[in-house]
Amino acid sequence: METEQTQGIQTPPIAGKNGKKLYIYIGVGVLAAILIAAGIYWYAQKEQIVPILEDLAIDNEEEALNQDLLDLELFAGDNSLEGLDNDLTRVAGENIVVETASAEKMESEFSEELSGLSSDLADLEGIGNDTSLDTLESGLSNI
Amino acid sequence: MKKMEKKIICLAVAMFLAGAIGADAAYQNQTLKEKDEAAKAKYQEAWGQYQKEVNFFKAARENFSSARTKLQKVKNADNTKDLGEKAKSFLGKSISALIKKLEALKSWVLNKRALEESDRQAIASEIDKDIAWLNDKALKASTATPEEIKEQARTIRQYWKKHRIWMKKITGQIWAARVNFTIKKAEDFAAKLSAKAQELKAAGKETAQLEAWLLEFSGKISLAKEKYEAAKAKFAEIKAEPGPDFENELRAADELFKAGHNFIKEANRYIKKAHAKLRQIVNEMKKAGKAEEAPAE
Repeated sequence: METEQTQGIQTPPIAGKNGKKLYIYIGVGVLAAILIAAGIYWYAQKEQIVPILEDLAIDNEEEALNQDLLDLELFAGDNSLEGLDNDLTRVAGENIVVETASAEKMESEFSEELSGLSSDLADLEGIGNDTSLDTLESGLSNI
Repeated sequence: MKKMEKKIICLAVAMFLAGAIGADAAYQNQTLKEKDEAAKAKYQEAWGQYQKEVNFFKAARENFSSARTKLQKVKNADNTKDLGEKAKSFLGKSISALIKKLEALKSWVLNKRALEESDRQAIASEIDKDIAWLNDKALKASTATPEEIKEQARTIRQYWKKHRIWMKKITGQIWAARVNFTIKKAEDFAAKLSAKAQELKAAGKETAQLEAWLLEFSGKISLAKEKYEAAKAKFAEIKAEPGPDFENELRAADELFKAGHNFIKEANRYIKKAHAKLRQIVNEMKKAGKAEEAPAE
C-alpha cells in the first residue's frame, strides 16, 4: 500500500500548455534582466566617461594655448627679414653708409682737449712750485 | 650841427657794435687749439709781468740788504734814512710781486675755457679777495712811517705764510676743476658714441667689438673720475689759514698737495688710456660706417 502511495506522488509532466507558458515567462524574465543590466551598465559607463572627456578637452585647450603662445613668440622674435632693408638697398644698387664724421670730430676734439690738459697741468705745476719769492720771509724779517 | 653830431654818434655806436659782434664771431670761429693758444698768450704775458716784478723785488731786497750793511758799518742819520727808504721800497716791491703773481693766476683761470664757469668764478673771486687785501696794504705801505713799515712787514710776513699754504690749496682746486672738465667731456663723448654704435647696429653693421671697446672707454673714464675725486678730497683737506705751528702745517699741506697731485697724474693717465681706446673706437666706426663692397657678379 505504501509503495502504491509513494509511486502515486509523481512530478508533473513538463509538456503541455502549462509547460510552454513557463518557458515563455522564464525567457521574458531573462530578457528583461539582460535589458536592465545593459541599461545599468550603459548608465554607469556614461557617468564615468563624461569627466574623462571633459578632462581631455581641457588638456587639449591648454596644449593649443601653449602652442599658440609658442607660435606668437616665434613670430615676435622672428628676425629672418631683419636685413631686408639692407638687402633691398643692395638690390636697388645702393649701400648703407652711416655717418661717422661726427665721431671723428669727437676724437679730434678729445685729442686737442688732452693736449690742452697736459699743458694746463704743467702750467699749474709751475705756479704751485714757484720759488721766486722764497726769500721774501727772510728779507722782511730784517726790516 | 646837431644833426651832424647825431650822425657821428650813431656811426660810432654802429662801428662799436659791429666791432664787438665781429670780435665775438671771430672768437666763436676759433678752434679749441686757437682759443687755448690765445689764453696761454694772455697768461704768459701776466706771468712775464710777475717775473719783472720779481726782478724788482730782488733788486729792492739787494738794495735793502746793502743799506743795512752800510748802516751797520757807519751809523749815521743819512744811512738810517736810506735804510728806511730802502725798507719801504722793499716792502712795496714784495707786495707788488705778490699781487702780480695772483694776477697771473687769475688771468690763467679767467681765460681758461676748459673750466666750468662756476669753478672759474669761484676761484677768481677767492683770488680777488687776496688781491684786494694786498692792494690795501700796498697803499698803506706807500705812506707809512718807519715804525709802521716794521708793523706792515710783520703783517706781510704773516700773509706770506698763509699764502704759501693757500697757493697749494688753490692750485690743487684748479687742477681738480681742470681734470673734471675733461672727464665730463669724455663722459659726454661716451654717450654720443654709444648712440652712434646703436645707429650702426640698427643699420645692420657688426658692432660687437665696438660695444666692447665702448665699455672699456667708459671704464677708464670712471677710473679717472675716482682719481679726480680722491685728489679733490686731498686738496680740500689743506687748511686755508695757518695756525700757530706753521712749519708742521706747511709740511702737512705739502704732503696733501703731493698726494693730490699724484691722484691728478693718475687721472690724467686714465684719460690718456681712454683716448687711445677712443681712437680704436672711431677707426672701427669708420670701417663699420662705410658702404659694404658689392659682391662681384
